[in-house]
Amino acid sequence: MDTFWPQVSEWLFGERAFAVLRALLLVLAGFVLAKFVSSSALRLFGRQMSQHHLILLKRLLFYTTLGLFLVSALRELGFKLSVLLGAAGILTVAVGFASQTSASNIISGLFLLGERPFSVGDVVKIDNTMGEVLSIDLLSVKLKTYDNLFVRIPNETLIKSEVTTLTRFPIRRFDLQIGVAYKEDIPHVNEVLLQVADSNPLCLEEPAPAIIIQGFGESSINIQLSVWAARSNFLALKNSIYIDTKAAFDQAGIEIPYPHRTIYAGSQSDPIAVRVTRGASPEQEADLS
Amino acid sequence: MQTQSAFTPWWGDFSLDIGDTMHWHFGALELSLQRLRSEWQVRSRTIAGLPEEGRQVSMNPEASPLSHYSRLERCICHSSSRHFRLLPVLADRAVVTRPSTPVHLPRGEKVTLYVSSPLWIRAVVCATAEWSLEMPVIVPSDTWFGASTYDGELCYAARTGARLYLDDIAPRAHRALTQVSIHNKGDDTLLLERLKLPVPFLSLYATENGVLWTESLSIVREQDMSTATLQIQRSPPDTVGAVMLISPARVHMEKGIFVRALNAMFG
Repeated sequence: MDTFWPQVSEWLFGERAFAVLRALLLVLAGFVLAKFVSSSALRLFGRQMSQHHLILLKRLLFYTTLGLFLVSALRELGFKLSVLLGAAGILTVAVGFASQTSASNIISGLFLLGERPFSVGDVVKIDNTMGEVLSIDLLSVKLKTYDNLFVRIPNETLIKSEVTTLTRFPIRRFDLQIGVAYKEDIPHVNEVLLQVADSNPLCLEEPAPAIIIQGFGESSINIQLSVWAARSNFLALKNSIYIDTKAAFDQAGIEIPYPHRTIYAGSQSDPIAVRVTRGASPEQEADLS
Repeated sequence: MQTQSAFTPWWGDFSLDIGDTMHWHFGALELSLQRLRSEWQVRSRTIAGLPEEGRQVSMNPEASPLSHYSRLERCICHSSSRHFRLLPVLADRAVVTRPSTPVHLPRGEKVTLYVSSPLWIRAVVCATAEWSLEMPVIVPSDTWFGASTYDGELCYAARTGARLYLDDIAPRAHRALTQVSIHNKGDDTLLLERLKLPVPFLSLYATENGVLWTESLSIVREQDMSTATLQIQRSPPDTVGAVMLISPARVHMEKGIFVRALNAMFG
């Protein structure tokens, strides 16, 4: 009991207590300063930088500032930095062996940051997943799909996969594939298709709409109408061009054929017998067949 | 200077009593404004297949029933003021125009072109909040103006081409005219295929006979041949007579001079 109070008193008012207090104050000040610095960077560079770069800069400033204050706090508590760093090195090797996948994801993440194939807010297609990029993190990229699902894709997968960024360029091309009957006059069909493109205000005048004859199909002559639209109007253009083309073909009497089948019984067989009747009722036709 | 038809000004301040409606035809656009006790209703629709000669501006025409309008915008005002304003404004993007056939401009030569640009109608209602609504008289086609499909600018395509003579442009009360003079100071011939008008930087002026003009533009292709200087003059050409400012430019520019790469102006 005699030694207890002096010990408590030394803990509370001694040098060590002040060191702990100073360390706590340093961590607190570091946290506040890191928040302030990162928010100020947002305000300062908000207009010049993309959202993706802003998030990166904010995180970098926050963790660097906080890290410096944490190191100072540890020094206040009497830890030697060189020993800590040495221990951290050994720990890194051990953790690295134990978590190869995570390390691979982190390194892939760094490559992604450098290469910058997309930014936060872009719409991307990765394998069969299409969605808006919510965040690009150290281990993974988070997407929100159009049916409102949250998808996490590891950075390692991204590095190995084909990634399509749909919102990179301001304009996009839409290819309308359509087949017309063999009896149709192809130059006339082309004229009608170009008129459809010309009268649609969403369809860009330049780059000019183009028509490509894809070839003779099984039942139709296949044609491709390629039109361009502003990225934001792409879906509206896609819908309207289908509607307009159908209406224009109906008006011009251009046939979009169903698949045709010609049945051939072979040279050694008799032809398939066909009887044509006029004015027969459906029941009589059924009897005849 | 060629003559232009006279039009009755259709813009300005109007007033409506509660429950009353006013109708306009702006070419193929039909517009109606209705004032209710604490609400303004702005209806519009586009009349398909209207012949070109029928595309004029008329106020209080034989109006379609309100249910026929395809678009409706509502603005709630606690006590709606009886006054509202209707204004013509220019497009919010640059307009790309082209001569009916490409024109060659040999070195040292000057040419003056006349361009007709589409207009938007701005209805300003609810005096306390200054709520406004804009709609194009004719929705112009989009077009891309740039060196490649990834480097350029989204613009509107002018349906009527640039003309050498003002009389070749059909008079329309719902379009604005711009005089563009081009001077080729380069060492070779300049081929004029397309021309981008920086419409958001232009203001609208009305002449005494109700024709809408923008400031004149003067473009000089510099001797280095890779750049062109575009200067926005202070007013429409003097030959149109006295003018009055109707609506200021959407984007204010201090000096009124652009120096751009040649292909950023002529495509």
